Formats: sequence, structure tokens, C-alpha cells
Amino acid sequence: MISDALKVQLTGHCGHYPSRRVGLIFVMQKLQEHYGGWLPEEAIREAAEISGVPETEVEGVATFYNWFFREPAGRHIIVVCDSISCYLCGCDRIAANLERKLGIKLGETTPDGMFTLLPVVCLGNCDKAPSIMVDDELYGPVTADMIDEIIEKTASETHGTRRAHDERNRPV
Amino acid sequence: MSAKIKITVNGVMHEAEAGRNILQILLDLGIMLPHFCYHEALGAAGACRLCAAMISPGAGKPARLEMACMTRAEDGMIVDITNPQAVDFREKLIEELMLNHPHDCPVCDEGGECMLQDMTVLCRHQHRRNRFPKRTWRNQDLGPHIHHEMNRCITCYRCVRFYRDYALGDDLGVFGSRGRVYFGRMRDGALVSEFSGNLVDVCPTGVFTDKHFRAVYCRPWDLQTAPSICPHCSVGCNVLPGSRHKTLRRIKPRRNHTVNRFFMCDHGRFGGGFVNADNRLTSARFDGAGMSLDDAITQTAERLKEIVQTHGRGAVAAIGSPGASLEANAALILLMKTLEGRFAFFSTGAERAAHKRAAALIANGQVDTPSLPEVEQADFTLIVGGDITREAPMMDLAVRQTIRAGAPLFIISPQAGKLDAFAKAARHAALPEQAAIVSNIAQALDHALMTGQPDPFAGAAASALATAKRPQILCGATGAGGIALVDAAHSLVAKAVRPERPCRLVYWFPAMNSFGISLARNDESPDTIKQDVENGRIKALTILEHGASLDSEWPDDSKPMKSCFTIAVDAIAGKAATDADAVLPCASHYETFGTVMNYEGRAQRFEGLPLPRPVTWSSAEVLLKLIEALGAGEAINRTEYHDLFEIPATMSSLIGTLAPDSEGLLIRSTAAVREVVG
Ligand code: SF4
Ligand code: SF4
Ligand code: FES
Ligand code: FES
Repeated sequence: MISDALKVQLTGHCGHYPSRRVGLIFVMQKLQEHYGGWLPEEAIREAAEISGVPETEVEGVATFYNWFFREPAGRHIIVVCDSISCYLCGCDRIAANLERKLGIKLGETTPDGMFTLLPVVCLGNCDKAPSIMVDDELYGPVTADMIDEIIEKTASETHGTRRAHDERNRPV
Repeated sequence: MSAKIKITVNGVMHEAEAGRNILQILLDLGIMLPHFCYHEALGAAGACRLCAAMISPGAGKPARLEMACMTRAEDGMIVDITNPQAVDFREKLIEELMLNHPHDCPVCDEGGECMLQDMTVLCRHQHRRNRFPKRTWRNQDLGPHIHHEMNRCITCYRCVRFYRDYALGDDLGVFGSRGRVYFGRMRDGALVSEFSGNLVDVCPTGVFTDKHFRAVYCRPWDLQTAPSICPHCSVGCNVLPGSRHKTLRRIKPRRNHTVNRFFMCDHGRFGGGFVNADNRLTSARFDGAGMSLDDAITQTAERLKEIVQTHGRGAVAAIGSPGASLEANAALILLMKTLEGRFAFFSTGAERAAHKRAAALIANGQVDTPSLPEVEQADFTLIVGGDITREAPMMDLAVRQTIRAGAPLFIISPQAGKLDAFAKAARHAALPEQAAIVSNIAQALDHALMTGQPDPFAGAAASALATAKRPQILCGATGAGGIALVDAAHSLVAKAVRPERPCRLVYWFPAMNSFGISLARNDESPDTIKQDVENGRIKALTILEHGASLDSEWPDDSKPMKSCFTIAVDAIAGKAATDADAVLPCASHYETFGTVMNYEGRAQRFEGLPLPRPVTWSSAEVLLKLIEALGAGEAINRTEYHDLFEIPATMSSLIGTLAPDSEGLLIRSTAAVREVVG
């Protein structure tokens, strides 16, 4: 459930556009913040109601973009590019290293809720392949021995760079 | 018609229409350039990349590999689909589309009519080099009609382009991205669109298949088919039923360009159950005794003669059916002429008056009635007189095309309907009150551009109507609105028509052949026949295809048919046949041939499936045998359709020559006929 205040704010936002549906992405981002970094079914319904876009289509948008989550995600999100340049430069090895280090497979979240590891298609960083992105930060070219350092640095940060996550329990 | 241009295809010069896409031009020329996502009704999406060809803007200019469906034809273009680069590209492309395909053709319902099979063979892809694991999906339960098998998807997007973009449904979508795109519902559940069955046809592979056909499956090449017309409403969609052994297996739309074109509604597609139903009549009966049809016809004829001798003229009567063909109803009328009897058709007196008025206006060319493709072109629509989504579904789909183009829609209906969501305004009022609202719009039209109308709905509709270039009014001539509503719609159109701007008018009817029977000469109101049966004045009543007269409530149990000998000519053991004294069984709609007239007054011919059944005669043939048994056989040869129906003599003679794959015959285009309202 979202507060009336947030609902009014988001409804107002959609009203700024000639067509309400244009405001959908913004509404979904705000809802993801509200729900602690992911979009439960309830959020899909609310986004549909606020933007006037049918639920099915909101679900389509939510599952299309990499940074919308339909399941609870970890405090830090690590994405590994497996597209053509990174593939040629050995992204498989990088992914395997990350999996070993974190003890999870691609697509999973560590039991302590700290990291989610996901594949992604091209980070636009092809000239520095193989490339990964941790929260808002790009790394590349990544070598196997950089992995430990990156993970430790990220884990030691008191605040994740994903602001959304830190606002998990804050009333909006 | 746009300008003609010349383009060269594979070294041969062809004439083509400027601005059309190259792929459609090639397909029209009979050149099969492989493709998936392009569909004539859904347009080009450029999603599959299969229709690649080498295209040069003109002689001496470099050719490039381009998607033919995304390229508009220009004069002098040179297209080469045989170029090795294009051929190689298409082969690799198919290989990529087939990466995750389960290769399950032997158990796939699409097998034998699968576009993916055809295109794969056409592009000569046969060896998969992929060494990665295949992606697999969980399928959904999409309800009673459609089976889902997502692993076969090649992401052409035709399904969502039909369901969401074309038919404006919002419960089928596309989810995910990159190599994991999923087409389905947000969660399991029945598809709600009235047009969901078309997914089976638009999907080029076996993702969406017909669940009913699946239950009685056979390979499509083993089906026997017959060009037919859907019997379920007055739109008259062209369909292709398919049978094997003793049963009807499935129904598909039959391509044509004047009525339903590519699609049909679920009611029609999945509404063929009556053919295989357990309550089919298979044997004749007379006075409680079973016997051959020939014997029952002979005995019935004898009894009819006796009744006429004892009780004189007017003692026999008949009820015809809007669910039966022109031929069957004509034979029934002729039977009554032979016996100097009376006849009417299933409906009520008020409905009959409305149907007759509407049919006369159309037949006489007093209104300009659009075909379905023309309905799609309107830039203003007013719907009045019923729930079009239920009563003429494919017309609803045509209206949805105007909505997509941004045209305003106004609705006056008895209760909330599915199109309301797209209407500029919807007004709910009981049918008898609707004529007054239509008249308000006509009045408001006089001062359309002034503000402050007393009736804001009428004011808004009138001002939109006043400024439209191609307006249309769709009016249900089906029931309680009566003749007043038919006239109100006609007056509104008469007022809206200007020399430079026509205003089109559709009247839709309650049943397949309502239009045809409304042209009958000398029929009575069904109310008077009903009365005279109930008060015992009518001694013999012949009832034609009551089982096909969709929701006719009469005869019923409430009033016994006093001392009336009833004869049922029917395919279905409904109420009429169960109680009848003589039962003369006949073939059902999909097993026989005939002619019916749709809402435009378009006579269309249909043919029957050759199902091996105990009864193979159509109801028309049964009635003609009865006339012969009465010794009046020569009357059959002497009688023309225009002797029995208010149709032009020219049309009358053409009806017998109509081909089922023709455009049919429009009554208004054959000759002027006089007003038939009696
Ligand atoms: S389900 Fe069928 S129509 Fe839809 S994208 Fe896949 S192959 Fe195309
Ligand atoms: S619109 Fe009418 S004629 Fe066409 S398929 Fe549906 S029920 Fe049959
Ligand atoms: S291919 Fe990896 S960043 Fe572009
Ligand atoms: S048919 Fe042209 S890209 Fe699919």
C-alpha cells in the first residue's frame, strides 16, 4: 500500500504529460523505491491505476528493463555483461569468479541479502570489455583478480549506491 | 488507387502501386519471399528480419540488404531476392530463430499448416549448430479455447499486435527482453477478448492452437472442407469448416476482401458444436411411429390434404426461420402457396416491422450501407440499439479500427458494454427510449456548433458528427427498439448527409438470414399466427428449423397448441421437434448448401460438408419433396425467387449462379425494388 500523499504526487506527475502513460516509468521507479527495491504485484496494480496503462502492459515494462525487479533483490546489484564484445573477451570467466566468490549462481541473491548477481546485455562499455556494473558504478576491463577487491569494497560501504534500497523502510 | 510505378524484381519488370511495401507487392505477384512478422491486416513490424532482399533505389545505384516489409516501393527500384548475400542472411536468420525451438513438429497441432515449417524449408536451414542448452518455458492455461505452447515462439510479435493493437484487448501481453521474451497473460486465466481465436491463425507457429480441435485432432491435410457462411449473426462471415469421418472438427475464417477478410469472432469459430451434438435428429417420425423419411413425407402430405379438405383455406400455416437459408424459406412459402396457407417467421410483430423497414431502406438504396472494411474507414461512429459486441461481433472489431485511428465513438445501449471504455460518451437507456435520444441528436445537429445543448450527450454527438468527413451510424434493428428506432436512425442520417459528405448507416439484424426473410411477400405478423394456433383456428402448423432460430421462445409450454397438427422440419431435436406430430429431419447448416443475406443485403452462397449421416437432405430439399408428394411438383419449376421475395428479377436469376468464393451479390446494386413494408 502506498500513502495517499505519494499517490497524489504520482497522479499529479502523470498529469503533466499530454498522455498519462508517459509518466509510467517514473511512477514505477518511485514505487520500487517505496517497496524497498522491488515491485510486488501490488505495485504493478498501483502503477496501472495511476498511469492508466493496463496491468499486463505495466508487467511488460517491469520485466523488460534490467533495473526493475519483480522479486526482492539484494542490497547491491552486480550485473555481468554477456554480450558480444564481453563474450569474446572472456565474460564467462568473470561470471564464474563472481559466482564462486559470492557462493550463488547468476540470477540469485546471497542468503544475507547483500548481493544479487545478474547477466545483462551490453553496458555500452564494450571498448573496456569484459565489463561489469555494481550498483551505479561501471568497471572494465575486469580481470579475475579484481573481483575480490570490488566485492570487498562494495560490501564495506555502509550505504549502497542504490539509494532506493536505503530508503527501504522510510515512509515516503 | 495510387499511382502506378515500375519496379524490377529478380530481373523482371513489374507494375506496382506506389507506396506499398515491397514484401506485399512480391506476395501479390506470387513471389514467396520468406517472412513472419508481416501480416496484411496487422502491417509491418520489422521484427523478424526474415524478409531481407537486396534492394537498389535504381539502375546504377548500389543495392543494400533491406527488409522488404519496411521498404516502400518507389519508381525504378530493383529488388533481388536471389542474391547470395540475401539468401545466406535469411538462412542464418532462420537458424537463429530456431535456436530454442523444441523441434516437436510430430506432436504439434500446427504441423502441416505451419508457417515456420514452410519458411525453414524455404530458407534451406536444416542443421542446428547451437551447443548451448535450450531455453524452456512454462505454459499457461488460457481458458477453454486456446492452448499455449511457448517454447515454439519465434518472437514475431503477431499475437500482441493482433490482440492488443488490433483488437484492443488488454489481457495478453509480452514480457521480458532479449533471449527471454514471453507472450501470454500476466497470470493463468481465460482470455477475455471475443476475438481470441484469431491468435491460432496469426501465430505462424504452434504457440497458440485451437483447444477444441486439439480434442478431436487430425492433420489439416486430412480435413475435408467446404466454403461456408457463419450462421451465428447477420454479419455473414465467410468461414471454412473442416470435417473428418463423421464429425465437424474445426471452423476457420475464409479469406475474402468484402466481409470479414482475415478474422472471425470466437462465437462463430467455437460455435459449431450443434453439428456433432447428441440432440441431432436422425430419423423421421409420424404420429409417434418411426419410419423412413420418404414414408413420413408421404403420410404428412396425405394428412395436410385432409386438413385442407376438411377445414378449407387458411387452416394450415407455417413458421419460417431467419436461421435457415433463402432456399429453405422459399420452399416453405411455396408449400403454403400450394395449400393456400398462411405463414410468418420466428420473431414478434414489432420486431418484424423493424426488420422489414430496415431491409427495405437498404434494398431500395435509400441508405448507404458500408461493408465491414468500409466500417473501418469511418471517422465518426454512433452505435445505437443493442450490444454490438454480442450481436454482431465482427462489426465491433471493425469499429475498433476506427478507434485506433482516433475517430470519436458515441454509444447508446441498454446496458454497459465492452466498447464503452473507448467511447467519447456512452448513454444507457432501455431500447424503447433510444429513438428519442437519436432524435435529440438530429435536433442538436441544427445548432451543432452552438454550445449549451439541453442534452449534453446529444450535443456532443451532434457536434462531432457535424465536423466528421466519413461519419456512420450503426443501429440494431433487432428487437425492442422497433420501427421507431429504425426510422429515427434513418432521419438522423438523412439530416447529416450533405452533397459533399455521405453519412453511412448500418442496420444489424438478430440472425444470419433475417435480412432475406424480411423481404418475403405476403407474410403475416407472427403474433396473429400464434394467436390463431392457440385459439384453434389453425389446424396444421409447419415449423422450419426452430433449432436454428437461435433464441426464439415460441412454441413453448405455456400455451398448448390446441388440436393443431405440427410438422417439424429440423436438424435439431429442440422443443418444436420433440412435441411435433410429424418430424422430418434435415441436414444442419454446415452440412448443406444454400444462400443467405447478411446485414448489407449481400446474398452469399455456402456449401456443405459431406458428412456421412442418416439424413443428408437440406430442409429446402425436404420441403420440396413434400410439395412433390402433394402433387404440386410443377409449381417448383415455375416459381422464381422474386415471386416469393421482394427482390429484383435480375437478382433472382443470379442467385442460382452465385459462387461461394465470390463477393456475393448486393441487393441494392441489382435494381431498384419497391418498398416492402406492408
Ligand atoms: S507467440 Fe506466435 S505470434 Fe506471438 S510472437 Fe511468438 S510466434 Fe509470434
Ligand atoms: S461476427 Fe457473426 S457471422 Fe462473423 S463469425 Fe462472429 S457470429 Fe459469425
Ligand atoms: S558487449 Fe559488454 S559492454 Fe557492450
Ligand atoms: S516480415 Fe519483414 S521483418 Fe518480419
